[in-house]
Amino acid sequence: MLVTIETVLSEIEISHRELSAWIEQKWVLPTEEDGRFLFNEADRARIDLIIELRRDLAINDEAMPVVLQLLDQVYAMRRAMNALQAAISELPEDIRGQLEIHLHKDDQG
Amino acid sequence: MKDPYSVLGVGRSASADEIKKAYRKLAKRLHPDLNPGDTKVEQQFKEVSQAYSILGDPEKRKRFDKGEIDASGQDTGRGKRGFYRTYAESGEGAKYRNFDFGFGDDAEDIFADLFRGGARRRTGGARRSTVRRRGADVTYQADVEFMEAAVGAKKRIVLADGNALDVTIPPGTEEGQTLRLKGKGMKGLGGAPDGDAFIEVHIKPHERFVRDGNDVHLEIPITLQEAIVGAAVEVPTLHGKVSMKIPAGANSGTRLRLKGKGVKNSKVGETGDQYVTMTVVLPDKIDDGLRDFIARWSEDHPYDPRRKAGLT
Repeated sequence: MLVTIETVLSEIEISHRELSAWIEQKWVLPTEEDGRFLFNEADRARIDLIIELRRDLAINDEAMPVVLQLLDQVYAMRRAMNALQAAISELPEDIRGQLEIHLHKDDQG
Repeated sequence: MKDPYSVLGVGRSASADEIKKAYRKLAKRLHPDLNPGDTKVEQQFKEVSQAYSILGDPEKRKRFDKGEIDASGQDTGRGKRGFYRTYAESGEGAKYRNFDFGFGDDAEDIFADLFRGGARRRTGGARRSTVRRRGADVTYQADVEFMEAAVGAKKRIVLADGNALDVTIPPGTEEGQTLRLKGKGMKGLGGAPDGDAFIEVHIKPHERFVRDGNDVHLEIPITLQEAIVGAAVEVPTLHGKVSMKIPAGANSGTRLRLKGKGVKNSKVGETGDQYVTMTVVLPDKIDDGLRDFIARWSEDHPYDPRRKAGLT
């Protein structure tokens, strides 16, 4: 479900200006429609995460882009990994077996 | 429920600062979004943040120490949505994969590299010339009229690249619903299938009708005469005008049901109803005849709706 910036702000303790700055720096990427920002559940969970990174984990605004960038890379890798896993599970048994042998060889080599 | 002091690993006499430090140290290690593959940390993190929600608040800590509250039942505000990691690997979080990211414009490029790399290693330098790669999915937002969503419609949506997609909006489409058009996403490479297009539907409000699932609500104004002696009036529905009988003695707020006149939702095989709520409207001008009659009539017909409503 998509919600407006007002709804988002009503649930959290940060200011409109702060959230706008986050959007400007592309920490959060809401959809823009008719000049209004609309946030999906992923955007809202990401805002919660940024708040916790700042408040609970003491990550300051200088370090935040680095942290987010690394996190996004980890998640992109995991998405790719999941896709790869799904693709491999569709392969015939013997090919999966060969893959396994190759991967084990790499482990030892 | 565990003792919050032992969860955070601090003594009962720890200062507020020590508690905060202990919490931060644990949160850095246990935050689920920093440990995407680890299912165990979520429970641990919840315990830690629950403990901190008590001990980090001087007032709550005092009450806990006095035994007025126990360690459970503290809402850490994480119930409904869950953690970011739930979304980060799903379709909704896909847009964040590109946060200044070195893989080009598609995470699937990772696969292209992977296969080229693998082929090179096996065959001693020859690059595999064809890459099989399923086309990427694309997501669009579409505004549809109230009526289109309620009774169904065919709609042409013009995309950012100038191409158009013909979309069938099924009757009973809900706000925020996503329609999938198989094979209408990006082209696949090397004979691999095309991606899918996902259309997220947003319904514009109607000036008269309001939808509640498959039911439709409508308000109509009626005259004093119609309210008192009853009448047959024409009311609009999703499926055209129908005649509706107003019973004698209808009042403002009286609600009538037109069975089967709501949304015909073929997906769930259910047809909603239309509810019509009446509002009694006085004539624009109250003439002497009406005023005198009502004045005379009310002398020996007193009634007190406010008392009935418990307002006096």
